Order: sequence, then C-alpha cells, then structure tokens
Amino acid sequence: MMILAPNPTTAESQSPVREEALEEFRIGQSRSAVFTKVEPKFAGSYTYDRSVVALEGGRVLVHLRCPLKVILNYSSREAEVEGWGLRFPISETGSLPEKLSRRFLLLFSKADRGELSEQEQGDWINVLDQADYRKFCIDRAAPQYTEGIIVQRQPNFVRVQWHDGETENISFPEAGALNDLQKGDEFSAFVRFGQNMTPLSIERVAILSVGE
Amino acid sequence: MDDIEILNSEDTSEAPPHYEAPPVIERVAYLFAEMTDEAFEKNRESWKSQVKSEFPFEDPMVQWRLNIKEEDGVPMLDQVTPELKITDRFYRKREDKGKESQAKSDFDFAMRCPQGRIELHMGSWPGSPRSFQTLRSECAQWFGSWFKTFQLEKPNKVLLHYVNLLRKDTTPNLFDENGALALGETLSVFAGVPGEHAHLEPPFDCKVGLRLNGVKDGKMRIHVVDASAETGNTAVAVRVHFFAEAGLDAGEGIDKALMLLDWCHERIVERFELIFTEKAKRTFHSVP
Repeated sequence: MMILAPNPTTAESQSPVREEALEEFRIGQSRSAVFTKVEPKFAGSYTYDRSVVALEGGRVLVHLRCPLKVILNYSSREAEVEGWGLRFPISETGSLPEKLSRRFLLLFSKADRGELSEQEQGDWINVLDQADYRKFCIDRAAPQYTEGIIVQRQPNFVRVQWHDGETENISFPEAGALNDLQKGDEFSAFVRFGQNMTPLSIERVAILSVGE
Repeated sequence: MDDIEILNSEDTSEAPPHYEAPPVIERVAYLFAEMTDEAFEKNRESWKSQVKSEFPFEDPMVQWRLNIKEEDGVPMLDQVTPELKITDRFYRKREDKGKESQAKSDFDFAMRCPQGRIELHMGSWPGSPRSFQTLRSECAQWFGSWFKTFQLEKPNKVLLHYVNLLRKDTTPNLFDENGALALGETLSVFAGVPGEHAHLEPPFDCKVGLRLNGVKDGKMRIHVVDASAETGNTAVAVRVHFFAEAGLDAGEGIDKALMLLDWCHERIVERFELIFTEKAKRTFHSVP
C-alpha cells in the first residue's frame, strides 16, 4: 500500500513512513513506498471509501448503492466527483463529506422546485442512480398525525390497532413512547413510518380516551 | 520509558527504569469496535460537537491510497483499486509554540476518528514531562464517551504505538562530530551485524513481529526504519516503532480495554529496554 500525503498538515507529523508502519502492522502488508507530493503519474480515478452521505447532522442518511469515484486531475489541481457535477481544489478534499451533503441537498431542493438546469438534471439522474432514493425519502418523511388503540401489551412489543383498522406489533425501542398507555386506551401521536408502514418513531402521544 | 505500575506481570520485583529524556516523540492509543457505515455517519456530527471544546482545531486527514502489485519481482502500481480515504481529525496546539525552536511541530494532542476506531495521538519532545499515564487518562476520558455516542456493542481490541526518533536534535549524544549516527552502538539489533565494516549506512529497515502470551490475540511488532527523508536528507534520522496489540473477549468493556492498554505499555517498555544498548540508554538519562 502506498499512501500519498499531499497536504502538509498543521496537526501531528503526518509521516507517510509512520502511516505505513501502522498499515503494515495492522494488515500485514510488507511492501511500502512513500510519496509526499501528488505527482502526474498518480492522476486518475479513486474510490471514495464511504458509502453513506449524511444530511441534517446525521438525522437523514443517503445510502450509496455503489462507491463514488473521485477523479484526481493533476494539471488543474482539482478533484471531481464523477457524475455529481462536483469539482473542487485538491486542497479542499478533506471537506468532501460536507461537499457531498450540500450537493445532494442542492440538487434535491432544485428538483423539488423544478428549477434544475439541463446540466443539473443530468447530475441528478446520475445521483439517483447511485443512491437509495426510496430509503432517503422514508428517512426524511415528516411524522404523520395518527390515532390508534392499545390492543395488547407484551414485554417485547405493544399491539396497536390504527384508526384505519390495521393492527400492528410495535417492538421496542419505538414502542417505548407508548409506555404510559394501558390496554384499551385510545391515543393520538405523530408517527414516522418506514418501509411496509413500520413505525420508525412515535412522538407527541396523547390519551384520547381511557380503556380498561 | 516511563515509570509504571506493573499489573499482572510475571516479575514485579523490579520496576523498569524511568528516563528523563527518552527518544519517544509520539504515543498513540487505539480502541477498535465493530461499527456500521450508518452508525458512523449518523453520530459523526454529535461526536464532533462533543470533542470541539477540548480539541478545537479540525483538520481532516486525506489519503490517496494506491496499491502496489508485484510482477516478476518488480513492484508496479495497481490501477484497479486506488482509494480516497478521509479521516476526521481534531487536535490541540502546543501552548509554548514560538517560545522554543520554530522547527518543532505545534502538534500537541490529536484525536482521529475513522469508522470503527478512535485514536489518541500524544506528542512528546525532549524534556517533556509526559508519560503513558498522561495518555491513559485521556483514553479513560474519551474511550467510554466515543463508545456510547456511536452506540457500539463491544470493543474488539486495543493497540498501543510508540514512535521513537533518533535525530540530532532529539538524541544529540548518539551522533559523532560529523553528524553520523552510531546505529550499531545504539540499537542492539544492529550491534551484531556480522563482518568488519567502518560503520552502518542508510537505508535502515528492520522489522520483526512477535506473538505474545498472556492475553487474547496479543502481538507485537518492532520496526526500525530510516527517516532521513523526513529531514530532507539533511540529517540522519531513524524511527523506532513499537506496536503492541491485545484483543477483548465478549462481555468485556472499556475498563478491560484500559487494562489491556496497560499490558501493551508494559510489553513495549520491556522491549525498549532490550532493543536499545546500554550506551544509548545512558544518553536518555536514567532517573534512579
């Protein structure tokens, strides 16, 4: 493994020699070589090692179906995320996680308002190809006002009948929001539903009528 | 290197020597745990806000990583899997920066948080009062809160890494008037090179791995490597790395991890005493 350290840092000495000694100890690779500058021969496509883009401080996550490619362009001293329309100076690579979050949010917001330019439309299609958009929409969905009745309480789940007649076993920790309710209680709450209408979170619980 | 309390050692009759000016320039403690991508990204911002007051400077570490493959014994760049890795890093600066040599790094204490592990990097310099106990108390402060913030199930292993630097400004007494490092008289592994020669010359690269008894997955590595390139080849410099690692069993938590760090430290101290020659250790100023 070779490790390039193109950005001298103000923090501890980022010695590639030391980094490689650690790599060798941890993964047992014996071959090492050290380069302290990005050189033309290193230009090309690199796989970004993270598979999730975090929005809203981590509350909403965008899961990537395939690794992102970052193109290192030596002549322009820039890097580019393939297909995202995201280009930045190599020296700013450290803030790539934040740049990806902002780019996704910007494209999403413009798409929502129908304001994407032709170029941005192409980028957004690429992003949607690479991201699990359905999961993102579920994560991002606002809680809905819902009413229900407690049918049964068990140590590891609470059985609820929703106002539309559907019944569901809600397991913990999500069911923890219903701890103060007893069998037969009718209640209202704001519920955020996930795939298959499974509750992801329950909040603002109120008792509408007391049961048994 | 430090005076330590020996725990569970086979021989507790004699404490290891304490040195005034050991050549250690950095001590690093690592804690590893299983962590999903989702748990990492979900809690990253929360962790940043927790460490900000004590590690006010943020400087992500960027690594463009290339693999090397070997064809008929010739090392070649493997273009299939180059990788970009970005590691969250937070640090404190030395408060005395500017009062002493400007050549010194302003690195004081850093925390790195890649997915699945936390690293605490503590700098030292000649005359520094820092010891393993300084690092350990930081580990006791941060390991538990890292584990809780990322909602982890169990720690996997700990690793302790000491970097020793033999350079004219850190260990002047090991160099002659011409600036040459008497490596054969400094490190016992080089003292016994067979045959007659005037002196040893760079590059130096010597490493050995050891499997250790007494703890789960206990292992160690000692790596002596030429670091002259870091000084721009203006001076001979040699890094001596000590790594010690120990694994945790199911049900063991942060308290056990800290005990294993003690164990790793003891193993490194033992080897330090054996690797450096008596002549070298005299220059580190043993404290009675």
